[in-house]
Amino acid sequence: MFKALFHTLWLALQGFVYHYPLFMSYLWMLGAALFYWRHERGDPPFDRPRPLAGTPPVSVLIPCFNEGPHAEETLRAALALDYPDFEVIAINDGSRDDTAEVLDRLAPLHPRLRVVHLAANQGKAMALQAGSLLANAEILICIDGDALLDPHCAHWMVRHFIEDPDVAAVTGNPRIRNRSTLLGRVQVGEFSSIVGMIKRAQRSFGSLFTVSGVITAFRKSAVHQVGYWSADVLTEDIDITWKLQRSGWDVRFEPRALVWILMPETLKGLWKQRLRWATGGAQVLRRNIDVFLRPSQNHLWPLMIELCLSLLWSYTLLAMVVLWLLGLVLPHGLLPAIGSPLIPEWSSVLLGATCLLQFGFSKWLDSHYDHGLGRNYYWMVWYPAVFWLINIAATVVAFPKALARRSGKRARWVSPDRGVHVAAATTVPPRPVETEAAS
Amino acid sequence: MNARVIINARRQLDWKRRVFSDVVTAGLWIGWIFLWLPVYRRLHQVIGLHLNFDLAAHEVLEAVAPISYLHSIVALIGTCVLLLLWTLLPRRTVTHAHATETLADYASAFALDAELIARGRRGRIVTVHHDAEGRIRAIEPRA
Repeated sequence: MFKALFHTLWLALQGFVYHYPLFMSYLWMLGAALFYWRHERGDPPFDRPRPLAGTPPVSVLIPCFNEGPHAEETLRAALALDYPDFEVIAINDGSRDDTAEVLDRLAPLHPRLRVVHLAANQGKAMALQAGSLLANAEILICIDGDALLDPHCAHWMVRHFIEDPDVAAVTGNPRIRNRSTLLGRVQVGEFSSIVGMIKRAQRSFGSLFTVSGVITAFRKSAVHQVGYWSADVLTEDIDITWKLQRSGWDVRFEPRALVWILMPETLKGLWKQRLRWATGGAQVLRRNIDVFLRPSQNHLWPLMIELCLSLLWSYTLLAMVVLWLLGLVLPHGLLPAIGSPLIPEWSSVLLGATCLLQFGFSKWLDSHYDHGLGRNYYWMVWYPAVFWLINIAATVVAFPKALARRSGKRARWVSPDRGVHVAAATTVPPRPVETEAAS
Repeated sequence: MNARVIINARRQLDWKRRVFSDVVTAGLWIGWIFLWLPVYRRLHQVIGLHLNFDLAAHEVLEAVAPISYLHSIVALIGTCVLLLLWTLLPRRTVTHAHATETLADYASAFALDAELIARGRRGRIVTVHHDAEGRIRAIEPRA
């Protein structure tokens, strides 16, 4: 009896490990297709947006910590926005390099540029809060200190705030700039097929798990009402998304609002980044698990169920791997027979094929905004083979870290690896000063 | 903007590193294609039975899919419809969406003088001082 029960449970767990990612992959593809059909299909190209009913002022907030090498390029791109009424606020968060000198040198040259220095380093959340307080506009576009805004980005984001007063945030579509190494190229595909596709699907099915911290526009009064970005979480973007949605605000995804970003191109940099994301996600799970007790927040239940299942899946896979390894050394019959969860069999092959199909579909979706994505497809075979293991390992390591982390402990900046650089690649052209008259 | 901002410095990488990643990736593709050989063999066997196409396709799909593909499709579409219906449930929405905060609201929330915030907003270069708890204590326009 006990043996039969154990066997059934064992089969169920194996089924869960194999079928959950397969099922989610097709669900995401269906959701993304639905999003495309409802929100993307009929719109003009991203570089020719429709005229807006109004152009409310916009403040672009750029928190910078040790961004000396990138600050000027980032600011030039932000100042080149194709939007009539905007200011750019660079927030120097107590940098230890020459960021302060770079910003002070640029401020007199550009009438739209303002610089906020924090007297001491406070972390990204606090830098955004200070920038928000000193911003003149009600709509804040927040980007990272090494991100390059597309000139039409503001146009696409603002339309959501005009259309619907319930919209508190609109997140954009980050595209990866550095494509020199294998890691860089795999991430180009990953950002389309995992990040972009999941955001599309989640939006189709109601709510977003997170905005992208590297590009999101916020309604300032909404952020104020929910108490700003939390200073003690590692991923302030996930946290603010949940705060806003739990308060009843709407958070949207705008795939035409592009920003060009740098990603790690070393394994160490990648691991640090993924571990931070996963720990931040686990922190948010811990803080928001009580949504299940609040029927008025039922719109967030599917997201929370997915988050719990993903965590459970990672640990179940880990358990299977451990049991498989034990089965190789322990006497025969002591443990149930299990094939390797890592060596391909039928289900894994089908899963790999689904993964590559997902890349193909997302490539088509994002090719409207990022040309030449097809060239990266060659490298995507790494994702079903190896790359996903990094994300699972990060999830497994991150959860206990998040549980052990003291609540209230201030999250500080992590200096990421920004990939392989060449001087010639920094090519955002300077815009003549006389065309940048303050509005 | 696309082409101008993309950094592709692959030619500047060490040639060994480039060749290694190219070759290993090609190897993975070859390995991947080989993993499909059993499907090809099963297809070959089924074709050898001279069944009609629909039946042969059904046989191969059933052999490849871990659970019945019909059940999988029903589960997938069912979940999709359920999630779409879920969005129609009554839920919490903001009732104060139109209320834009005023300068006085911000001053009160941050326990700062409204004039100080206004001067900060007019400043081109500003320094902000926080206390140990992270509260803003002073805003000092420099230009």
